[in-house]
Amino acid sequence: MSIIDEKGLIAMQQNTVSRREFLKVVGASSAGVVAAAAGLPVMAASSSAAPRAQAAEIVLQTASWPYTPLPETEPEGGYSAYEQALMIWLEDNPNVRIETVEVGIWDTSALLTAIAGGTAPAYFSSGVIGSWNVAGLQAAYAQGLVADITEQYEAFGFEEKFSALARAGSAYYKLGDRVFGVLNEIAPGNGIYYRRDLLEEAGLPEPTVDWTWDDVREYARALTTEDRKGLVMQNWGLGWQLGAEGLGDNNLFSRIPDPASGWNWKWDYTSFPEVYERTVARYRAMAYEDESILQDVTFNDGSVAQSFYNGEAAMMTNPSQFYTRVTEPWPYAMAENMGRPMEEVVGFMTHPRGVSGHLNPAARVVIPPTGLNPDLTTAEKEAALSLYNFMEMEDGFDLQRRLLYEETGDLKQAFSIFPFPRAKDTIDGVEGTAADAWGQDFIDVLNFQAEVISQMPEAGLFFPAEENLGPTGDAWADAQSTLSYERGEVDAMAVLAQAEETRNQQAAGFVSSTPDDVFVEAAVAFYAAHDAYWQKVAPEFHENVFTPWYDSVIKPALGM
Amino acid sequence: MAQESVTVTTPIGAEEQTQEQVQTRVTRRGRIEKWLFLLPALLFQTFWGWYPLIVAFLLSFTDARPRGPISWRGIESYQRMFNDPLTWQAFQVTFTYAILSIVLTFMIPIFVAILLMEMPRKHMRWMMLLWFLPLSGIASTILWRYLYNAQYGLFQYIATNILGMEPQPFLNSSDQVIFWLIFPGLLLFGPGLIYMAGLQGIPQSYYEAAEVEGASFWRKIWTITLPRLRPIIAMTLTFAIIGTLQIFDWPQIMTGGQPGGASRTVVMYMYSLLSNLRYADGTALAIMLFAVIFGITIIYRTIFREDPDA
Repeated sequence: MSIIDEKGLIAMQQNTVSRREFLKVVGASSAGVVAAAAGLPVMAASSSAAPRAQAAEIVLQTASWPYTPLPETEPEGGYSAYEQALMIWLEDNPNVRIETVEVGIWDTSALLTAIAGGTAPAYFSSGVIGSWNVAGLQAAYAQGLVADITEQYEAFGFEEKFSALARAGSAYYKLGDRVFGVLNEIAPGNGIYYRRDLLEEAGLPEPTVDWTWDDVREYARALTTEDRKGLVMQNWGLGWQLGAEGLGDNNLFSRIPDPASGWNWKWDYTSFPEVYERTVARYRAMAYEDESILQDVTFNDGSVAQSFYNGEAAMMTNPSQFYTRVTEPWPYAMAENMGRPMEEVVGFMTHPRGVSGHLNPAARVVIPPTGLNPDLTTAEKEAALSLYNFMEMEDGFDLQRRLLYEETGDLKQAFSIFPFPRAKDTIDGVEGTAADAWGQDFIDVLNFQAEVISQMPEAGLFFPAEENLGPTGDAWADAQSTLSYERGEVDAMAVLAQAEETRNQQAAGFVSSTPDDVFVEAAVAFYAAHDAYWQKVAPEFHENVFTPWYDSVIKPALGM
Repeated sequence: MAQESVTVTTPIGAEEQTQEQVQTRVTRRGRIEKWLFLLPALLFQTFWGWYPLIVAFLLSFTDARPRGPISWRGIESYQRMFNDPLTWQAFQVTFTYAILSIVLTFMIPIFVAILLMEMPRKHMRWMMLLWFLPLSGIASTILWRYLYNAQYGLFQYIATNILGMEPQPFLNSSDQVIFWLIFPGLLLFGPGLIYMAGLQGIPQSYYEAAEVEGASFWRKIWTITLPRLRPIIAMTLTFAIIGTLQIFDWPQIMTGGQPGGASRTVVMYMYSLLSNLRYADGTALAIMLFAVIFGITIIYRTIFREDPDA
């Protein structure tokens, strides 16, 4: 649908009113197609004082993400909302051209090759080369694989434009005081989706932020039938349960500062044996006794989502960002298929807490930052970020969402992929809020993840980035899958001891790029921040679990 | 035998030449032509084969990275990979995969091809059609994931509901995962078509002569068929050894190296290292794998002679 009728188009062709001005009038009137003529009141220009693209010709090459060029001719159904917004920006920046290039930006080796060879597109998702975690991203930044955009970030005022949640995840796109990325979307945190209708049928109350994995086990058991499992999880599902206790992989109790060693860290998968054994036993009981988990070594996020969509499971673990996706196989499309309002069918709750109240860091905000090609010139970076600013932070974003709403009449379409990276969480010309679209209960969970869980201290904000990432996570993944899938009796502590030994043996081959004194100072601050955090959000956990461990393990290791 | 010098008749006005001179010119021209024909392949092999190999070898002694300066680190990466338990686990998995794969998907098609040749032509064509399944990579992944699913997969249904077995773990078992990853290869007939082409090239008169001598079916296979297939088997086995020792796509997509690292091959671990920006370590591991494959190939080619009359 185009909002530009014949008179409006003639007016623009005669340059009596710019496309941007015309669309602002349309937006202000909240009407659909509006007849336009010369003499429309000139609206105020965009409030942003952000720099525009330079005058010299600039070509932005994209691999069809996040922006594509305009089609050569108008499509049969008219220009899409995105294309209409893009037209406005291109009109304001006539020296910029967008071209498509064939680069596998979602494949790590293809993208690294392109970056090394100087053929990378203007934009890519930095997580592809940064292993989707803070340490990997910061290492990529330290190696110069992503453009430094600090100057442009300040010039466009992104710090003020980004939401509080986006800023809470700054470790994903910053390294020290340098900036290496912007945000096309943010994932508030991982959690559990549940079939609200099936919970109601089973007489189960809706979960709360204080629920535990013992509660989840009860729910899963009650929701399991002959044709359906209670819960479907990815192949790393056990990791969710251990993470709730602060255990496993690089979680709080499992990666210990060791300044005396070359690498500065060591792994500990054998302390808290009773907690490990209880957690592993519960997971295996769910899988092999209750038979309430749908799990397989081949399962990833997509497989889990598909199983939930197909009705093969009543609950699934997945990031919260998929709650607001309006495509298959996510809950919105599932409810549409069922012909029922989404609010009646699907709910979402953050990850369960540990037994003594520890919060799962997996429910922290995750940001897949958008990085720029490190070979871009200053003018090209400005053009790229000018486009981003318009399409994601300012008028272009509002226009796209407004047009979608006008076309579909569906508030969820307008507020899809929520929360927005920008601080402004309303849409000009659209009456309604994200809570109206997705339900206040979902927004309340997001707020909890943003305001409580995402405030958990992030190591990337305390420790300098390592250029060499050290041991891979394979040893932990091996232990986790053995504990999850091996049938019969499994000696959990022997498996964990093996993983610990392997990881520490691997670490012995590395030397940290951080001097010992700098590391100790950072570690002292990091664990002090944890001390303050847990005292505030989980006092029982802080007193009974964290403090004894902090006093007996961390302080001696750091010479405190 | 020495050639007598003979004067060669040449066209009117042309210089007279001896046969030796003509022969020398022809020989030299022949050599130049041969080299010209070989040149494109040599250049391709040099720039796409040997040059990257040499560069990779040198990079494995540095702190290699895609951008920025690199510095010499000596054998640091090799030491790290030698001392990494996952390196040896990956080699063990790779050798297990290679041996099992060659036995099941390389040896069996030889005998299948031989048996197919005994069938009437009409039946043989139908059998080949059934055996050769052109499955696309991505589509087959989705299909096989469904088939192997330990809870609702077709194979589980067959195992429990039809064969009355206990529920099977399939890909979820560290003991069985390699076999189930190789299993689809059995259905694809592997190099069987190449064997059949080779079998059709064996003169029928050999078999007729053997039958006259009273040779049994298996005696004919052992004394005629297999020796005649030897060059083809030698060539395809070389490729099979090199290919299976570098296996990556299929296990990476299906299991990601799990469970317990039981399906993580050397190339998969290399990929993991590169994904973690450990370029020098990944390159060192690649060189180690190259050395192993090269050594095995040399030994194999020395032992296994292709000449059936040797």
